[in-house]
Amino acid sequence: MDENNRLEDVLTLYGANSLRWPVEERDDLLRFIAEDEQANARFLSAKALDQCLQVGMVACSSAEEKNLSANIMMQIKSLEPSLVSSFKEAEGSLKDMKFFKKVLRPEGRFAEFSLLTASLILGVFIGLALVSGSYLEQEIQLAFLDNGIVLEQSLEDLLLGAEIL
Amino acid sequence: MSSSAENRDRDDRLMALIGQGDHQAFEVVVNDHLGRVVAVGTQMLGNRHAADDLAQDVMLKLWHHAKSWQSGRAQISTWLYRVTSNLAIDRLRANKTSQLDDDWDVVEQATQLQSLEEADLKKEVNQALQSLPERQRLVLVLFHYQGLTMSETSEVMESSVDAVQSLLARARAEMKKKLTKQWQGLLPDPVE
Repeated sequence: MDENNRLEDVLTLYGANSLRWPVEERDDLLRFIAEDEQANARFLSAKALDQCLQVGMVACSSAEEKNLSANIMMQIKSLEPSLVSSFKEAEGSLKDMKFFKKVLRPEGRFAEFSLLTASLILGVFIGLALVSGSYLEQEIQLAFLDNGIVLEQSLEDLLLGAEIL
Repeated sequence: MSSSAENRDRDDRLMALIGQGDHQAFEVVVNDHLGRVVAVGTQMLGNRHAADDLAQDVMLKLWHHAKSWQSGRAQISTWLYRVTSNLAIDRLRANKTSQLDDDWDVVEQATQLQSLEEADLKKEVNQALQSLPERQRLVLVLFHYQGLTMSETSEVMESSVDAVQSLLARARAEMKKKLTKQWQGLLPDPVE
C-alpha cells in the first residue's frame, strides 16, 4: 500500500504517538516521516492535535477520590452490615480462635510438656490417696495390738519389716 | 504466569471475597479503579457531579455482581469500563443533552492550570468532546484518554475491531475539524 495512504490511516487512527502504532508498521513509517517533508508535516499536525486533546484529560484529586470512596463504602456498609465487615475483623477473631486452640489442643513441645506435667500431678494425687489410705489402716491395726500399747510406726518401717515393739 | 493472567487471578480472588461480603476486599477494588471510572464518567457526561453519581452506581453494581462473577473470564477493569460506558450512554440518552458542569471553572482551579489560555483551551476541547455523538465520544475516551488498546476498546464497547477503528477515525476527524484553530496554534514555527 502507498506509504502516504498508510501514514494517513495510522495518524488518523492512532495519532502521532508511534508507540501506539501497529508494531509491524512503526519502523517503516518513522523512516518515511524522517525522509519526506510532507509526511513530516502531517505527522506534526497529528502531534499538535494530540497535544490539544491531552489538555482535555480529566484528573481526579486524591482528596476528592478519597471522599467519594468513603461515601461508597458507607453505602455498602449500610446495605449489608451483618456480613463480615472487614477482613481485619475476621482476622482478629481468627487470632483469638488460634489462641484458644493452642490452649485446648497444644502442639509440639508444649504438648509434650503439658501432658507430662498433667500425668505427674495426677500420679502424685493418686499416690497420696493410696498412701494416706494404707497408713491410716495400719495405724488402726497397731492401735489394737496386744497390751493396748499403741505404737505408731511409719509405713516405711513396716515395709522394711521392723519389729513391733 | 503473564502479568495479565496474574491480574485476572488477583481480580478473581478479590471478587470471590467480595461475593462473601468482604468489605475490605471491596475497598481495595474501589481504590484501584475509582479514578478511571470517574474520569470516563466526567468525559462522557461533561459533568463532575453526574460522574460521581455514576461512579457510585457502578461500584454498587460491582458489589451486587460479585456473587455471580465468573472467574477466568475478564478483568475487573474491563467490566467496570463496560458498565460505566453503558450507564453513561443510558444517562445521556435519557437526558438528551449533556451539560458542561456549571462549576467547570472550579474544576479548572482544582487541576491547577498554569494560565488562562490553557483554561480556555481545556474548556474548548471539552466542549468539542461533548458535541461528538455518544459512541464517537466513548471510543475517544477509552482509546485516547484511557489508553486502552484497540482490542480492549472493542471488548468494552462490544463491537468488532473494524467498527471501533471506523468510529475512532471519525471521532478524531471531527475533533480535528472542531479544534482547527486550537491545534494549528500548537504547530511549531516553520524553520526559516
